[in-house]
Amino acid sequence: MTEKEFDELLRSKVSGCTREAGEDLWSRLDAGLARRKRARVIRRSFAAVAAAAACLAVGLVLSDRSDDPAVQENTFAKAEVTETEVMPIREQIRSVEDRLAKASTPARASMPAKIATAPKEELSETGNTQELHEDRTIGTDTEEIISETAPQTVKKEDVAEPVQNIDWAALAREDEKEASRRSPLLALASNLTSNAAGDGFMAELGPSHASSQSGLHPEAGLPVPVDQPEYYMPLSFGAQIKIPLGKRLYAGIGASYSYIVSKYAALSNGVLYPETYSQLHYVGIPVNLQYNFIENRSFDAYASVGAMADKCLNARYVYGNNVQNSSVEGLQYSASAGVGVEYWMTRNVGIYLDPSIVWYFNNTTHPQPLSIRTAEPLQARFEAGLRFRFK
Amino acid sequence: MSEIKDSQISEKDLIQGCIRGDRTAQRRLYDRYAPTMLALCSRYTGSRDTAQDVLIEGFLTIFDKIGTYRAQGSFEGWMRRIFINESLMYIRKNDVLRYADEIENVPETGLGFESHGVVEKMNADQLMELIMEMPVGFRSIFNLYVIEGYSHQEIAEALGITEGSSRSQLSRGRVWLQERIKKL
Repeated sequence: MTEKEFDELLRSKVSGCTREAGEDLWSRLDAGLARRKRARVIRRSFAAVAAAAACLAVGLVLSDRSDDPAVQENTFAKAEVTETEVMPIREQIRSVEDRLAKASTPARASMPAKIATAPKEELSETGNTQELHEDRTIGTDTEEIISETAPQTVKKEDVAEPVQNIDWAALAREDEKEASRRSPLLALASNLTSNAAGDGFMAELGPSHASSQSGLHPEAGLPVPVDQPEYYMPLSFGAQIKIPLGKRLYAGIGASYSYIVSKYAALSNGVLYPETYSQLHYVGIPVNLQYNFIENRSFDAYASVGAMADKCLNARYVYGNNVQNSSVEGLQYSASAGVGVEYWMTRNVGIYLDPSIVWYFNNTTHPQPLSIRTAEPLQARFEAGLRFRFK
Repeated sequence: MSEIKDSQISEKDLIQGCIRGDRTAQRRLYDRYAPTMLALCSRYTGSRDTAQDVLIEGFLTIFDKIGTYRAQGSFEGWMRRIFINESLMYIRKNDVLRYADEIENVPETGLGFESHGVVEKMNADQLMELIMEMPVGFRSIFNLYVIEGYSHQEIAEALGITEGSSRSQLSRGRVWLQERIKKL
């Protein structure tokens, strides 16, 4: 028997071989498909939020640049000042320069550095009426000093000190910075929530098994869970406005959307459906108080407490080839506490990370549909996003 | 499931359904091909449990990439390549060190093998079990060359080895298998 014959014989016997792939394998594959679909939704949501945030950031940065005094001055100079208007001012500058040249060297040395060292072109080309007016005033003062003291040396402190010691522009910038800290903030965020008391912090987006099934079991006609549900990690995103209340205190209010999926075996009209998905869409209004215990130029650290009321807009149940929608009365209340850090990349755009602990209250009057929030009320939440400061 | 029999749905319709993400079409495709592909994964991985994991990963890849299938070859052939790749990826990730050790312990020169009748009498499952018991290095190359019909050049590229090494390991794999058959 040659090697070739041996190979042929084996191939003919083995190539058509099959192995039974049971129902449990399909269930695992089905769960994997659902997990990948959720991951795709999350990726797309993050991409959409990031794109919106990037557009907003670019808009704010551009708007910030247009508010910059330097940009305004240049614009003003190019747009408003004509050569005719500048000519008399140039004449005055030349006159001052001539007089200074005639005066003693020590007197010239004691002049404000701006006039003494500024290139001629810089002085003549600037179109800022205010700045030229200041130069002219200084020049006039110098002229008076020269006339009174020449040819004697002018004392340096008489002229230069008051001008050189106070940086009015820096003070104005500081005032502006302080005022901008008091400006309202807009936060765009996405968060992932995990059950802190159940499986712990989930490393992946797959389902978790919680130990209880509290919460509303669906009304008649809808599938009723008959086994341990698997809870997928909720997906949330939203926007929030923060309003300054005091030097380090902020109040926030916003809007949030959450998508919560659970999977379980369920009975409906006497038929067992081994894979039933409940998909809940919640919209909520979060409110919170934030205290900045570290507040630097570009970095803040803070503690916050908050509360949220969520309304379930739609509860969708998918089982077999059936899809049923159900309305839900009442609200899902929650309270949260956490700490956070934010880094301001520009004066108006910052990124932040808020880890927090959330407690979802049991609404006894209007029980909410079975979900990770009703089954495991204590949740750990990781919120991240962008903040925008408005002047 | 609807009343339509699986055999009545064309492969093209199944593919279109899977491209749309229709779960029923995905299930039908799984039902049609999973037994064959599970056997294939078992031959490469040597373990039924591992083969199941690889099968699931393979189907996830297929459902993700099915939109890239251009109908230029057989669909089953396209699927087989994905499952073979998934199996080899698993082997590379988990058995690299053992792979190197085992090669040294079997002589390269083959023994005379005259027991044609023995192989003829063995059924497919018995041969499958023998192949699954092969050391992983021999098994991968034996499967790729003997069962799938890949050339040594293709195997060398796929596994990142030389063609000489592929030939040598195939030869040792045959010897290993023939010795096991003799003992039956």
